[in-house]
Amino acid sequence: MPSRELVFASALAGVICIALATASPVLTASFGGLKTEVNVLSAPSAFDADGFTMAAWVLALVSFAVPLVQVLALSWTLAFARAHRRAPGFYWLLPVLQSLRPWSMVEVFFLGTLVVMVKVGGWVSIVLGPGFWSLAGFSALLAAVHRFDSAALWEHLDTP
Amino acid sequence: MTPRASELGIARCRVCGQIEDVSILTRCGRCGRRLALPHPLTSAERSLAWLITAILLYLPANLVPVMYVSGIGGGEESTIIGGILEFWRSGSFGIALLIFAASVAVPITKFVALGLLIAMTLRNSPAARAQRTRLYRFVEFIGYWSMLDVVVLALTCRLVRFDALAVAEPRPGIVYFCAVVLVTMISALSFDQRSIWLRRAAP
Repeated sequence: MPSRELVFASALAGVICIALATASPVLTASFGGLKTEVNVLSAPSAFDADGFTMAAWVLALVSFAVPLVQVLALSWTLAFARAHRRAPGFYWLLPVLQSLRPWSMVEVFFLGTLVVMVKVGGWVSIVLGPGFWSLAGFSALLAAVHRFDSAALWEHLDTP
Repeated sequence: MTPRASELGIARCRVCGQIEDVSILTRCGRCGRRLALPHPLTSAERSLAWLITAILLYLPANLVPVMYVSGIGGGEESTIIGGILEFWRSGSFGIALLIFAASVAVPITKFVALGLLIAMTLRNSPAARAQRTRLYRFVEFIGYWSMLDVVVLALTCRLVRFDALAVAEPRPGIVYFCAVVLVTMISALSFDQRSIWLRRAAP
């Protein structure tokens, strides 16, 4: 299991990465003088037509909301754990962190951008935006975050 | 025979991992959450119900088109399988295999593996318990990669909006497919892997 310090650093860096991946374009496409772009937050709006709402919400949750809550909650908890203290909200944040784990799909989203690069890039010119690199970084950081067993914190911080 | 935790009246707290004596406690002494012994049938039956739902949803997910692409030469709808075949024919074998793995191989592997795990638990089978536990962890691990096609479609439809020249739009098949991924994940999560190890007396 990665050390708590490493996971704390990764989670903090993750907050920055996800902020960048929502504030700047992940991919930009241009064709016939027209330009389009997409980032983590705008991708779900591809499903804005009637009847697609469910897909839009699911995509927004798994690629944005869940990972964001995950790194925020982990940073918060570990910031206090460094001082050997239980963070405010520790009691309910830990189970939340555990149940969010299977629903965080940043890596899948990143692989999706690679597929689209090849798929759409065949006939449209695609430029990688800053968001692409933040997404790549975020996927790498989450590897450390996901190998960390947050339930172990109950033991280390046994007495409140 | 090695005794099981449930036969000794002890259980591991699902939230904090503390081992507690369930014969005297109903709640975990450390985190206060309710302690639960693995129930022989409930988790497997609940998981089975979700699995059947997922298999039923998988039919429209593959039969209904997921994308519509229009261009100067008219428009065309495509299904998941159709999209994979198109990549294959155009020579993008890697992409074709990747999408095939995520959209076809992973869901079908999950259906078979979960079906097997549920059936063996329901029939109280003592066979290959360690391997079944490994199979369950594998199912948990591969599950979310199926979402790949939903991501690819969303990104494509956001990018390919070049007015009259080329426009990609989603079609309802993707909603069914998205539901398949969710429901299979819920099916896997509602299966209590401790039930693999339970021994029930013959009726």
